[in-house]
Amino acid sequence: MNEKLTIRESKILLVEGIDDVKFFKAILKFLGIQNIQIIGVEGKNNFKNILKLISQEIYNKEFTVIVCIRDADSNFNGAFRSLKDALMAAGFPAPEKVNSFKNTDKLKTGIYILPENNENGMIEDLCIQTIDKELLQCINNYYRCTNINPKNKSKSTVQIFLATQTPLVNSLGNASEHDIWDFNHESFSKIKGFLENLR
Amino acid sequence: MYNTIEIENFRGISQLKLIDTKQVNLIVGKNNTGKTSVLEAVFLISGISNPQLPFNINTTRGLNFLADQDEAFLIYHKLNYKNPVKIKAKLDKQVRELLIKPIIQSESQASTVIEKDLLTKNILNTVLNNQATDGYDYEISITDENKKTEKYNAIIYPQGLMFQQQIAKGYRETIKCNYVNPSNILLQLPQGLNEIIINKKIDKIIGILNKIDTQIKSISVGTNGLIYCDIGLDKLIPINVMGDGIRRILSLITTINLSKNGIVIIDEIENGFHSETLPILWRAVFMAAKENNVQIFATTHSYECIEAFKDAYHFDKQENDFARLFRLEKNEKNIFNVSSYDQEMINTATEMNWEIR
Repeated sequence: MNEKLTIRESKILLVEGIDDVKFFKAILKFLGIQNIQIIGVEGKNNFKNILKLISQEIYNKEFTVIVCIRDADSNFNGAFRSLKDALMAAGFPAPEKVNSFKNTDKLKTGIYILPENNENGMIEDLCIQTIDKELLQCINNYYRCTNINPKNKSKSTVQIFLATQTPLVNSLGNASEHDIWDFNHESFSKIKGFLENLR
Repeated sequence: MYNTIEIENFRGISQLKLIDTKQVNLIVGKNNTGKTSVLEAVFLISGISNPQLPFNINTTRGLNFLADQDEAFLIYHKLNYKNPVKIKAKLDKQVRELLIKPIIQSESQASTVIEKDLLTKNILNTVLNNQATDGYDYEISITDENKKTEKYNAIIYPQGLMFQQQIAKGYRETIKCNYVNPSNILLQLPQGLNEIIINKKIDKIIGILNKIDTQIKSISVGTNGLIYCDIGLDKLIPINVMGDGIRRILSLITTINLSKNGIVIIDEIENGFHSETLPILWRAVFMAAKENNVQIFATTHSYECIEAFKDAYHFDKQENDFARLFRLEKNEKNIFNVSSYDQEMINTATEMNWEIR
């Protein structure tokens, strides 16, 4: 049987899935922030249950920071509310505003909704903002030439972009591990600013 | 049905609380975290007027009171009998509270007969043997739904080769509770099974057993106390030659069926079962608990057993909040913690391979 998942760190970052885990691992490494346990909750609806499981570990571990990050998808405010409710259902304090923290004596909790700026969308949209404008234009032209309108254009655009890169990788997460995303790009400054609170 | 159970100064437990217990409760935890002690506490509070039970639970732990009367001590936390055992439980329509104090005959009797040997011993120390707690003094309190409290007393202590017992006058127990552990699981089977056969419930039980062994067509109890199965051969065969799992599952289901509207306590529920049989065992337990309105308290330290518990819970689409998993832990300072997991949390934990044992 695989190794059991146990809580090792006092700072916890909950994200949606494996791609997000790899992305945030890479960006935290870029920022030089260590000792954060990143957990992919494997589905947006799992935040609440994972937070409840974490709440049962308080006896064993003193938590200092718990942060939840998820995609806005088609409802930015709804995404924030669902994470706020999840934190509260597990008995943790929750921030009042999106992309912010709630500080209590011992514990700080934070919520960040991707991509940013109260926009609907997903982590892919944030990464797309960092793609060279000319290259992005070519990718858009490709859709026109082939007369294809993909179901999830953001994910498709990332895939097409990745197909032009070296080394060849097939996911946003793997791209993060190979320095394909430029974490110095202006578009990442907001999320980086938020993550600084985990230091 | 119990909703909350509080335990103080009982065996290794300084203080511990199980909150929001459900119809089926599985208690997990590493060795020496008090799992069996919690079950024993549920047993004692269920038989609140019966001061014999502490002796009985010591016996199931392999202790023999008659050989060593000091063993009456062992129910007290850190063996300190000055802090009485306290067990409090909230039921749907009742709160019951039990204080168990020692009876120390050598302290309570100013004048006793002593043996001549004591005066001629060649070992010099000043301590009198005044700590032999050899009996139990039960202080019982029952509060009903109208908040009316009744108090009772019961005592038991040895006298020569016999025991003197004073029962709780005017109290009548309403809870039927059976305690099953690996050493006694098969003892009551023939008698219990007879009752099931008389009550025409055997077909249902055979249906459950058929999930493990499709050959079983009927079950009967011989006059010799042996249980026989019809597996389509010319003769009935004793169940002893069939798998241990069949006998154990039959015994558990029989016990639950005989405990209608009561409590069944099962220590080390996985004991004697192959991991492949565990989901069937749990489904049978869920089904029997529901049908007979029996509240179950079970322990395990097997991860496969927890997974089987989750799968059975999920499979039968039990109404939410039918079952709970409690994890017991104890830190270096002997402080207990109880983590509580509902169905969704158990599902997520097993999906995520989260350690909840």
